Amino acid sequence: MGAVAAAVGPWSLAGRKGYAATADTPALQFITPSEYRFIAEMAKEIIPAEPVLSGQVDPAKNIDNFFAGQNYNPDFLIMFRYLRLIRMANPMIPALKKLVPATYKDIMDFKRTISFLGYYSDANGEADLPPEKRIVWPRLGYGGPKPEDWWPPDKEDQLDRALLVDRIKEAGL
Amino acid sequence: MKKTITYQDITSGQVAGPVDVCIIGSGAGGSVMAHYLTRAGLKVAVLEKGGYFPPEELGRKEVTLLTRIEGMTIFSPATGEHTRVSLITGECVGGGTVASESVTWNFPLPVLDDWERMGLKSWARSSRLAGMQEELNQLLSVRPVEMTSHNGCNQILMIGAEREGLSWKSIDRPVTSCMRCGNCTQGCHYGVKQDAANTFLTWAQEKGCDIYSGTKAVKLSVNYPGPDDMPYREKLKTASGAAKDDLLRELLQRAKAAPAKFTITAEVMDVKKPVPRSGQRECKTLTVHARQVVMAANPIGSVRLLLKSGINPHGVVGQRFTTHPTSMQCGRFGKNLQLNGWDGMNDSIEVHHYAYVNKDKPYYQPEKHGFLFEGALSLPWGIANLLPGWGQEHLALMADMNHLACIEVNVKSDQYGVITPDGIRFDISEADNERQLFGTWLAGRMFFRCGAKQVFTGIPGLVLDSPSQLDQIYKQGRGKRKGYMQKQANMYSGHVFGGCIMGTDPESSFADETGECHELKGLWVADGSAFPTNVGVNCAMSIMFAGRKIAADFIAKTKKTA
Repeated sequence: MGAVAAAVGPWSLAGRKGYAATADTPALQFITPSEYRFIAEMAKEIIPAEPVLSGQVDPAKNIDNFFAGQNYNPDFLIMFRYLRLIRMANPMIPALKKLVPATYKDIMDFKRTISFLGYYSDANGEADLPPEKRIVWPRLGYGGPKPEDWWPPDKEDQLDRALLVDRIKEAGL
Repeated sequence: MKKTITYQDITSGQVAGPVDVCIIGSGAGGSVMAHYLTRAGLKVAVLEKGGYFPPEELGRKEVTLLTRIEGMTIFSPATGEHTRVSLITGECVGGGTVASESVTWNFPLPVLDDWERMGLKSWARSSRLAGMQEELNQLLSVRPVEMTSHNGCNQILMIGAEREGLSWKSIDRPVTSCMRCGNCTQGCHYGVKQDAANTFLTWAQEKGCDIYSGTKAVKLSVNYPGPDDMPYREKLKTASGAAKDDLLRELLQRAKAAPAKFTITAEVMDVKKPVPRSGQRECKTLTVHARQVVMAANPIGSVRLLLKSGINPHGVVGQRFTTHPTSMQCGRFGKNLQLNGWDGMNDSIEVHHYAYVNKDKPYYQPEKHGFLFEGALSLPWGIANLLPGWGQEHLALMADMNHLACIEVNVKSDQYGVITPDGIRFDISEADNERQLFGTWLAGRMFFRCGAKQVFTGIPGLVLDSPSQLDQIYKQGRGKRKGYMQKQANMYSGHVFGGCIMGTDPESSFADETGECHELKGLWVADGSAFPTNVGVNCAMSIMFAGRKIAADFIAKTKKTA
């Protein structure tokens, strides 16, 4: 059904004013409910982290927010063309994996790119949140944007060379 | 810099000029031209497709800023039979200089020698050119990064290189009091990066240059030809007496009827609003009349505008496109090594032992060498895309983000492609692939020299767990295609060249050695498009240098004509 919806495509893009919330989708400003469902499902496969599985972080909604409010570049919209192709190809992915591995890899790479956009990048909305309210970035140890009153240390931490074991030397290569 | 002229400031159908010079593009080349031409007393207008982002709107956000200040072909890469290279160019007031990591190399002297051998005699090493280079370095406060300012990721490259016996360099940067926030590629939030918006464009504005932002030139019209333009140049050569007088009179009458030789039609958009899903923003039309035009919209923008305008003498426009295809290698280190590569100055060490700048060294092998290593780590989205796999395996890798270091292998390609109205055809050569493979192998060694637990290569599917696996780099491939000669290899570049190159022969080049079009006088090219070869190093300064030299030639020629 998803593949059929992708083939039909979202019509009248210019005139569309968004979608009200339904039982299984939140209110959307930019992507369609069927795109939302596809991305949400895909994100769970690509990023099976607890916040995604529990719904605490919603990469699909983040993507909707990002495109509705943050994206200034038409090139990023090409992503939706690929999304449409991938939705059409989705039922055939197991066959593609066996028969055309390069195409399978391309599809999975695209699934990764868009899922990661909604989860790891600032499209996740965490740049504008205080550190204690962030969910994704603390799990990576990523500090996010520097606060306005930030000042750099006098110098960067210098690595302890004794910790850097020369494995080439060890292996005699 | 002062406010630029935007969508809000003009009425649809507005006409500007005639100006002495209209510069299309405000990056490394266009900004330098704008500065020197306004300083010479010319009335200059600059048209920039992207928006103006003051420091307070820059930095900090990975993807948000990517969509604001960079033009991309991430989702529509340069593609050939077996290659895919995503190209990234600046698309804002200041162009690529705003989004670059600020790595600054003087224009490489071996490349000047190559250009001289190609017949571009005025590009030969000289005290005049050396003086121009020095002047730019002083104007932009270029200086090397202090040793204590290298972050963990760059220290890995430095130590790895030392242990491998390779020379390295603490890079030069045009920055005053760098805050080392790690967000250079999102533009400088502190306004200390000496990008084109903070320097040349500001100075040009102070001298009366008009800078239009959100203004995309869509057509360049030639209102009348001159006696030195084709086909009149040839006609006048053979004509004599009354026939010649008639021709000259005809040219004069056509010139009198038009406001200026060139007219640029542009669409002005509010580029500081999200782009709608239809991709079409509302726009107003702006017409600029100009006596002379400088193309500086990077190779892709300049070529496409010329092709769209039907200006393609001898079919040379779009030809000889080239780039520095780059791959990224990633080393995963133990939990005891806190690298935080996203923090601190990005790309502050470069290993240039095998770079083209060393082509005269006895060890240099042209078929295998010709690449730079750069220490660089991306922000979370970039890193996530770089690391292999998905699911739990990928989550575990991302949890180690602070124990990763990356090395870019930046190849000086010897291959040429073609820019067309709707695509870019480009394939790396067999030698480029060899350079990438050797660079990947060496990067792997440098990581293992520093104790890496794993190395994720840029070759699809190749992860190395120990130094003994390094030779796999030369074996990995798909069918007959080895290494990077497969479209699944993730290569990218922010360095683009060619498409309107300088040369001596009008049949094979667009412009003469001064940057002026052979066949249409008053039309100039002053950015990477004019380069007949790539340069093999980070190119913002090289393009500024070319802009400086072309500006000097422009002024000299214009004075002579006047």
